[in-house]
Amino acid sequence: MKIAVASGKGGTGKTSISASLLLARPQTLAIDLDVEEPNLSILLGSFKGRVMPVTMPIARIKGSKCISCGKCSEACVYGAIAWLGGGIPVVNESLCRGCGLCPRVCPPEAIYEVDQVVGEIRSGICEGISFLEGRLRVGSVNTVRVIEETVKKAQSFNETDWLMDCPPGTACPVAASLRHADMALLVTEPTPFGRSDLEGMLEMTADMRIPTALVINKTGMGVVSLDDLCRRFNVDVFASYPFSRSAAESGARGESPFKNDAGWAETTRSLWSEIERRFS
Amino acid sequence: MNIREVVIISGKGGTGKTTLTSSLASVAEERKILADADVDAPNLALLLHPGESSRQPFFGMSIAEVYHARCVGCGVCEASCRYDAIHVRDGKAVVDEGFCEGCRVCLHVCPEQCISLKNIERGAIRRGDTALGPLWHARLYPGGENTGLMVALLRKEARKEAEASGASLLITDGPPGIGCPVTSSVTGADFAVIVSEPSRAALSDLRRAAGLCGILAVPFGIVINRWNLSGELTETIKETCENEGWPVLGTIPFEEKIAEAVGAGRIPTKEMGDALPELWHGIQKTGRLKR
Repeated sequence: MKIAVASGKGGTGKTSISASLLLARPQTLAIDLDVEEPNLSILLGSFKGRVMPVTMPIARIKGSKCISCGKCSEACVYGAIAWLGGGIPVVNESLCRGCGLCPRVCPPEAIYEVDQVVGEIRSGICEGISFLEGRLRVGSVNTVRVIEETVKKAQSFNETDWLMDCPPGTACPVAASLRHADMALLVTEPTPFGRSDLEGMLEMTADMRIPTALVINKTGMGVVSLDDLCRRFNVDVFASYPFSRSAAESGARGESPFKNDAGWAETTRSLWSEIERRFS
Repeated sequence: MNIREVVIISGKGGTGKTTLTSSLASVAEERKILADADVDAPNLALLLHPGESSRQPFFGMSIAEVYHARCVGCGVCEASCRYDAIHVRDGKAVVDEGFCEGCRVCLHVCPEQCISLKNIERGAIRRGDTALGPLWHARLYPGGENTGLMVALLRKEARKEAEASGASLLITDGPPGIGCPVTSSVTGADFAVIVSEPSRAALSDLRRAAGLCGILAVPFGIVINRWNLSGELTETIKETCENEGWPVLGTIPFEEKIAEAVGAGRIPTKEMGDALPELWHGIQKTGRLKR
């Protein structure tokens, strides 16, 4: 089963709970898809493995072949090719999305593509767990590209059980991650912010028809009820982790509370049983 | 009119951007406009409680639409799409609207010429009055594309109102991460406040957020929230900042009364005490936010 751990709101504990689930079932393939801020390896333990670049094609114009017709500039919907009515057009590489349209519309075939590095994939082992991570290069905005390449890499491993630690929010990076999931585990907290962002996530998993369950983290930190949302979207709470200062502190040091908090570890094991009972 | 804009970002989510944004706004005496640029998980309105005064739909890029009566299911579009956004299912090409970037490659390659473009509403931009000034906020429909474009439009509207109304300050609550919406929030701002917290994850994310501000040439400073959850890691963050030459603007303790105020939908101005106006004055000074 391919499980996506997502949340809407950031900082609800996606990565802490992902790490705990993985430590409890180390045969599961760990995939960090929060490529803008990948932190799963910090909580799992030392990463050993290799690093591969993720690239994206970027348009280049061969000046000697260009006939200065301006068709490329006219065709590009991203405004990435500037042309002032004469001379050779100029590609703005930070706006180019690598769609491949301009080489197709260029009459003298003066446009070619070169690979630009937009991020990297780390592939290896963390604490005995098979581990993959996508990492966006700082300054690049091609989040979805890095996510998709990381998922492709995961598919090449032919593992049946995945755990994907997803990005926060409810926009395209989350959709790109959830697209590959058999079920979504939404980690929330009983606060007004947690509830509001959870609602967006529940709309999204309902739209995408992904079986969904909730994990409520930091209970006791807030008093906001999520019962009506559970009823409206027909989802159940599979586990509740109480707010504990010691769990927060061990997470902050980069140690999963699964290793040093007996109550936390027990909740994680019963969360696995609930997932299996309901979804396997 | 010279409007100064400060944007609050964090790298890691959940470090307290929205709580800090609202608290700073509550002690900033200037005439100001507020903007929530976390358009796919917006929360500032939950503390500022704006009245509804306007709503405009957001469309973003147009996307591909297949005229099925003419589609022969040849799959040329599928093979040409770099975004994996069009697939032949049951003999007809189907666009995955959540992934189409509107690049028009499929329109160009389709031998039957049965693909066109259509606009879809991807969300809404709103404006409402609050006790602290007008708030521009937005909601991208779940799963949507074009967060960067939406943030750019939202900031443009907020600036326009600032100019028209004579406000001197724009405070923007930014999104987490370092991707499209963050880049769009930070580009062209006068100063960025990066909210961190004492954890190894937040430190790693702080480095990436600071790197992005450097690339975008926006000056920035750091606030360490919940510093007392680990005095040791707070020191590590401070040392990192000192070594890198990043100004630490202040620290905020973890206190239950702050969390309780936010939990009740209130700005924790009182709970943060005298340290809050001091923090704001420090940000004004370091960020040169005063005209």
